[in-house]
Amino acid sequence: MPDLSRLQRLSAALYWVALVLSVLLPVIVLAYAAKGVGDPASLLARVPGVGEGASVTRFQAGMVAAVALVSVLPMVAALRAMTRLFGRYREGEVLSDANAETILQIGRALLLVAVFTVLVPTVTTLILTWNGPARQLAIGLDSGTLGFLMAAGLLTVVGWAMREAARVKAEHEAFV
Amino acid sequence: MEIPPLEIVVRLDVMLARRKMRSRELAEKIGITEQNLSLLKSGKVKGIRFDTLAAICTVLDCQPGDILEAVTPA
Repeated sequence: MPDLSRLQRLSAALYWVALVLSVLLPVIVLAYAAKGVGDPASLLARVPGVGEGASVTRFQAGMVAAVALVSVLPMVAALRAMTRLFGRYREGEVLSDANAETILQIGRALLLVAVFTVLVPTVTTLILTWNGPARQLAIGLDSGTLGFLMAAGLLTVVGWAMREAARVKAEHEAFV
Repeated sequence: MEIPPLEIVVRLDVMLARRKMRSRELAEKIGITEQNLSLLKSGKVKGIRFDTLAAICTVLDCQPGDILEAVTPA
């Protein structure tokens, strides 16, 4: 029998980390969004590139909050999928089709996270400068975004490899 | 001309009866579960490993051809 104890122990810990984060993350974003709607001027300090003297209406703050809430969804989806994956690893289920599909789901979710890390600051800046003297459109690509893109690509490939491994395992189990 | 595909049928029951051995005893002696042996007997497996076949032949004192038979599907 293969020794899965190390995999199961780490997965058990990561299961709880992913579960807690999947609950905490939306709560934190919701709290920040509520703070932004309550005090729209505070948003200006958090968004670089918005000129001094610009004002933010409550409607703009609401739009920024809505964008922030939508943007957190892919990360929550990734964390929920990780919870399912680590849960199955914790139980000792390693090479299965379900795990391969879950890894592919995480890859897709992280791809969306990468897209959102580019889109959200751009859209946020546009919303906040909409009624200002000079509208701004700022598109940025940083190492974090590239990291998410690489992680998404890696997980997609690993998911495909896992699917193949699960197929081989099923075939192996059909022999006595 | 197309050659009709043959089907491999497991005749383990016949050899067990000849040797007056029960499935459980054979499973224990060759080191596989009784459930797997039952699957093998009913032909519900994709294949049999050479070492399993060798162990069965050793215990039942027979040849692989005594256990496996190629038949034309009905």
